[in-house]
Amino acid sequence: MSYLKNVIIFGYGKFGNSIAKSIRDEDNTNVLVVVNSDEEYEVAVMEGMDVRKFNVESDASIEKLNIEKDTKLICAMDNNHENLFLALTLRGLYKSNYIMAISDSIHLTDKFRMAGVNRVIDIYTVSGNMIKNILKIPIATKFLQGFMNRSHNYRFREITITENSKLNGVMLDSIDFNSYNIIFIGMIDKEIGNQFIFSTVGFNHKVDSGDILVCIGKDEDIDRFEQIMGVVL
Amino acid sequence: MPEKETKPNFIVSFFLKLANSKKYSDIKSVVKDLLHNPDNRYKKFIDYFLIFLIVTSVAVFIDEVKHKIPFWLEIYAVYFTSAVFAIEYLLNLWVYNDIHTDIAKEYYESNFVGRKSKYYKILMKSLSQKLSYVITPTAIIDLLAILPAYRSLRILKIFVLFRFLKLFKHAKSIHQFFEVLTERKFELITLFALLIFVVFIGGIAIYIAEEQQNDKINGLFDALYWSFITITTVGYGDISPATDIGRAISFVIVILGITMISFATSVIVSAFSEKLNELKEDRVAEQLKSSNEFLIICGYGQIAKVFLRSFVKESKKYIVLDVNAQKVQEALSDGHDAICDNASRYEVMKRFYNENAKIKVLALTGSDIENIYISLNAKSISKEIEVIARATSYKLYNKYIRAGADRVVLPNEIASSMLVSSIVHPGMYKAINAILHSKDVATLDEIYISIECSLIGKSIKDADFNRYKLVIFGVQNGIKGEFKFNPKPEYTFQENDIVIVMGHKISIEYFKATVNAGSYR
Repeated sequence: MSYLKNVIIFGYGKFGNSIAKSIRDEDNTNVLVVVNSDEEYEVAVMEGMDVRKFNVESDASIEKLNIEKDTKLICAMDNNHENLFLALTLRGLYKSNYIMAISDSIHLTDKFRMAGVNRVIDIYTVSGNMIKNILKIPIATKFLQGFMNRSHNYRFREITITENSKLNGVMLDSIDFNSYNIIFIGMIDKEIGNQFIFSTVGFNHKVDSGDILVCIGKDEDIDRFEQIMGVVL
Repeated sequence: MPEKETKPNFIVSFFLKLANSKKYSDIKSVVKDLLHNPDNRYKKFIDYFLIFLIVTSVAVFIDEVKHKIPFWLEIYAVYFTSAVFAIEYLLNLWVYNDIHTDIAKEYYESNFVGRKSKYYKILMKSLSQKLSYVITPTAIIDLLAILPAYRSLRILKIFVLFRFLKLFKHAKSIHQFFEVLTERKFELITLFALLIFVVFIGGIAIYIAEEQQNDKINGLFDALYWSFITITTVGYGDISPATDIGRAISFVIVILGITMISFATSVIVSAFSEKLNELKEDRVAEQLKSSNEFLIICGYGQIAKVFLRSFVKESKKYIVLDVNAQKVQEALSDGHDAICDNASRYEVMKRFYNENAKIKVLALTGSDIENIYISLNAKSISKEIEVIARATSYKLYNKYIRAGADRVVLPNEIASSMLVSSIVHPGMYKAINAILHSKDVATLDEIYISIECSLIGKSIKDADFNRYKLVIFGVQNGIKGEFKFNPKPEYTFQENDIVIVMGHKISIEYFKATVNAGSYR
């Protein structure tokens, strides 16, 4: 089961552009692009984005966007100074919203954190780690990358257990995931918060409604599993 | 009109036979490689062996001056070592050029155009080439180092000194010392000429001034001797000036002597300080090349820094190359081996190449042009070199692949896709992030099934991965085989399989140890 996700992306430059397109391509997401330059505005309009203009220095122009509490905000402006200023403004105006940013330097990452950004993705850190993994576990890294850039047919799927599902109340070790050609990775247990528990810790848990099972496999195999287990909404 | 094909005589037939013998040319190239290729992994052992022979035989000769040495030691120091040096000398002479190929070439060419063969001329030319080797300083030293074996002539024992000179050839540090001095040949020759000039001027001056008054100066040679000993500031004191004019000459000579010594010292010191970095770099490159597996990291930017922060824990060999001296300094201060050089230059990359080592090149500079050039450069040296390159845009991906890059890392794309995943599929993001950042509980690893591994012939079911709480993602045979996702329990493992598993770090290590498996390298 997936929930409708509202996302606002500030900036339509080198990062904003690809992020907005990727999110738009996903089901159940609403993307609004907000830009402060005419050039980016025109490109976004041409590419069919829902786009608005704003002034990064004016709180009022941001407030006009009527941002809701559960909307995720992405700071993706090309200018680092403006991006940081925006992050500070957003955090000041919207205390509970989830704010994300992309950083291209270690120092900027620290500044974003200080500004109250919830998740900062440092391009150099992720790339450096990626290279280390390519050297250490090349096949496995390629396989994992395939999930992100969709270069293979296997998908990660979060299966939310519904009240009427056959899996509701079932012990984990009694589910034969292998026979459906899917791999059980772990689960998010609602009872113990939103922590992700990997299957490799060797726990045996009773599955309850609201729990989320994370599996990998081909779409058709996971669909079949969801159908048989009655977890499709 | 072309002449009829001539029948080769006995000697020419012999050379033709050699020229057509693959075994002979193989043996000769192996010997040549052993003697002259610094990258040959066995050359250093030969050098160590010869250094050992040199040092021990010279020690025996020195001891022999005062004491009688045992017979076996004489056999070793005189005959055995000389025999080894003689063999080395003859081998060097043998591999210096190929007489047989010259003769064979002449035979075929003369027959082809139908002219009379000029074997004698060709033979003389080849022999004169051999002679040109014989008169090289190295060959002369090698030959003279054999001479102490002729015990009947006592004077020949002095040639034991030449054994020490042989060390030049085999001990790299001594060789480098003289290389540095050779680079300052002009300054040192000028200084030496000046020294001779001043010695003569001083000697003649003291001779004229004191020949009559000083009973220690009995000729020009005494005067020159005094001048030399004074100018070098040694001053034995066996001859000293007896007149005021003589003492005045001494003032001038001593001042000139100090000046020249200071000048000579500064020339040598500056030559060494200039060369020091190069010598250090050579040493680093040599050490790197001697390992079986190493990394060449081109560009010391943010990605390289982040990468090295976690990679140093792997205790693998690596070198950082950057054209920017400031960045190289930064890398050195961060504790990495780094060289200021351009990785896109063929000679620079070739300097690190060792055909027996597994080399991986990381092209991580900020410029796509440079990274593509580095990829091409590495692949032009050997297709076996693995290249992982950083690209700024996906649009350039195909260019990198065409340039030979084995893997292309796109920092902007990775960051964007991670951000998108964290919004759209937060569960997947958490899982992948944890796996990629090697959280102990969910370590992803590759288990390589070598010939020694006990999993060969066993099925997944028999191997009982569940017992070790390991999840199999897939299996691939060899690095280029087809990836089988989630293989069936009946799948039987075979040699070269690489099993992708996820599990607790300690579970994976325990499993690997139990089944005697390793990681794919």
